[in-house]
Amino acid sequence: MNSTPADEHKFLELVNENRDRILRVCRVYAWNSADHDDLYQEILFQIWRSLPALKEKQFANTWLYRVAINTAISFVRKRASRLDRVVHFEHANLTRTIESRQATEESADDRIADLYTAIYKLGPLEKALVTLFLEDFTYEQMAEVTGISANHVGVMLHRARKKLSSLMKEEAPK
Amino acid sequence: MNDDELKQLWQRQPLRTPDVSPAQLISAMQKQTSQLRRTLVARDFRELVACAFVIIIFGIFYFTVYLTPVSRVGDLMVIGGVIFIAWKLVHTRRTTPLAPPGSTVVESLRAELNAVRAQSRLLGSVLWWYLLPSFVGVTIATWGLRIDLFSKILCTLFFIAVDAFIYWLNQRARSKQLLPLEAQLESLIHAAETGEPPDETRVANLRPLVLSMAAADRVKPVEFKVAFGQLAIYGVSGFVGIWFFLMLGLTTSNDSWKTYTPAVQTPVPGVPNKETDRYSIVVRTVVDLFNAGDYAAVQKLYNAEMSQAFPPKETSDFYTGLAAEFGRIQNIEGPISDGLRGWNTFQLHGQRGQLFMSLVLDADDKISGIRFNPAPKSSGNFKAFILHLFRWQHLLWLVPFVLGGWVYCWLLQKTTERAVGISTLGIHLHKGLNLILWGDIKEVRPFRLLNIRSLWLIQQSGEKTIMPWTGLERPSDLKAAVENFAPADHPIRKQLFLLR
Repeated sequence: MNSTPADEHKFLELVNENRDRILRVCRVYAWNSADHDDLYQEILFQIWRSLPALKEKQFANTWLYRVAINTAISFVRKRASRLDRVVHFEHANLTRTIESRQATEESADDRIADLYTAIYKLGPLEKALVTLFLEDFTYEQMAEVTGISANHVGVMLHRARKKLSSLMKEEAPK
Repeated sequence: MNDDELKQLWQRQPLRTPDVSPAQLISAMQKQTSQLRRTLVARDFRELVACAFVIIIFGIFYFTVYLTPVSRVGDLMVIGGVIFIAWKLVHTRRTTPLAPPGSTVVESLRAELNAVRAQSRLLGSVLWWYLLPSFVGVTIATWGLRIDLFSKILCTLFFIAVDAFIYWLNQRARSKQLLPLEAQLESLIHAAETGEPPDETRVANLRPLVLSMAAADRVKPVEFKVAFGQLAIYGVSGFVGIWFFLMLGLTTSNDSWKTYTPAVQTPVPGVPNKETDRYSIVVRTVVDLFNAGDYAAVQKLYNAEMSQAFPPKETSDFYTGLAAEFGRIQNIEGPISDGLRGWNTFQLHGQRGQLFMSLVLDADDKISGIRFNPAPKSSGNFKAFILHLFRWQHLLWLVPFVLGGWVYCWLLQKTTERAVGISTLGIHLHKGLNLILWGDIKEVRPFRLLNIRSLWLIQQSGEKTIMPWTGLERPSDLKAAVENFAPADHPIRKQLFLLR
């Protein structure tokens, strides 16, 4: 993209308006601060690249989530291809090791930390739907972002929320 | 917590905002755009350069090594095969682009599935489009060379072994990486299209580890690449090997080092069969009489002029001397010459050596000329061959090959990712694909190959994994990383003394 001052202005405006939303998507899909920063930069770059395709500003919200979620899912898959064997590899041992090391480092806001920990355990599509739900999207808007029919969005989201709720109960301090 | 509370909690969460000014952000985007452009150009360029390299090498072979028509056909097949490979790779990539960033999630997943399927098909059929054309070409080229049968068989077996290894690597990559990824994507798309839950066994590994931010940061390993020196030992040796075989090919295809024309096992077409029969009969008679010690009878096979020039006494003395030097003649081969000016040559295998007998017959099948030459000894031939192989013109080519090897290793070292990572959790291998926890390593055994020591990491389950050790860069940092992260009594600590 050969950028003009108008393009640059449009990009900065879009990023400034939606910074928090993008950061929340990053936090859902990235699992450490280095990956979080990498994913944030990657999403901004994909927005920058595809900005000429955004014709009307009224669709910017849906469009931005499409870009962010697609980029995040692809990012996770690339990272997972490096880490997936870690998950399979003696999973119980690994979890024990990590838990023993993180025991003293709980997040300041336990509830939000529990929510993220529960979201981490969802599948990529479930994560997308739950994120959009928390961002207050309607089923129709979710369907526009994901390409899943509104009916199926309802079914899948219901299932994902049920799962999330039981995961959060597991995470909550006893 | 109800839905509204949950949404409020979500939307009001404190976030760590990256501290970047608008100017820095625009500059970073522009930089990343040009980097992406360079990456895309470099990706196609890499394939074209590799293709050009092989074409140049086999182009040189066409004029220097593969001098027979059959070899040249094989050589051209290799070049054609390489062009086809480059085209297929670039074409596959271009026909399966990723979805534009503004696509829906499902569209994006479908595009990715198409790309993964295309890659998977490529690896699955690697035998037909990648290995076979080059293998057939190079085998034809080898069998068309004027080298002995043993060398041809040896070369063919080598090509088969290399191709089998490449095939195995590709199928392994397909089954371990691409097929699971394909299954994951299919499962996600199916779930999105039908609303059914995705197959948990397939999508499980798309989920990251559940780490807190702080814990995840501590898992980041200290990374080590393979040291340049270690790469150079093998890389430069490889280039010197290419130089050696290239010069070997040039030397074997060039007859100038030989002191005698090689034996031709069958009568050459230029000599009529009737003629060769006539000569063979006379040679057989001469040899039988020679072996019987009836030299006077041999002399009677001479024509008038020959008989006059070599009377019975001289003839007898000559053949007596010949018998003393070579013993009885046990085998006859030939004729091995083209009958130039009527001279036909046969190779005689005596008890104490080989010799060539050349003779001319007149119209009455009488010998009008006869000549004996001892066959050149193989040691003399070998010496000439070695001298020719290592002559200064050939040695001069060694310089660019060695330099090429150094540059190749340097580029390899600069562009490859880390070989080993050390973290509080354990040892990260295979570019991060495999993490072996400290606690799971039950035994560590050194393994030596030439000057390089690697380590066998033997786990509780009995699984053995090899890990580069002395071949890694920055040995003192590696030592420090292990000392910092490995548990106090860990067996890997006993191998620290190998790092100097």
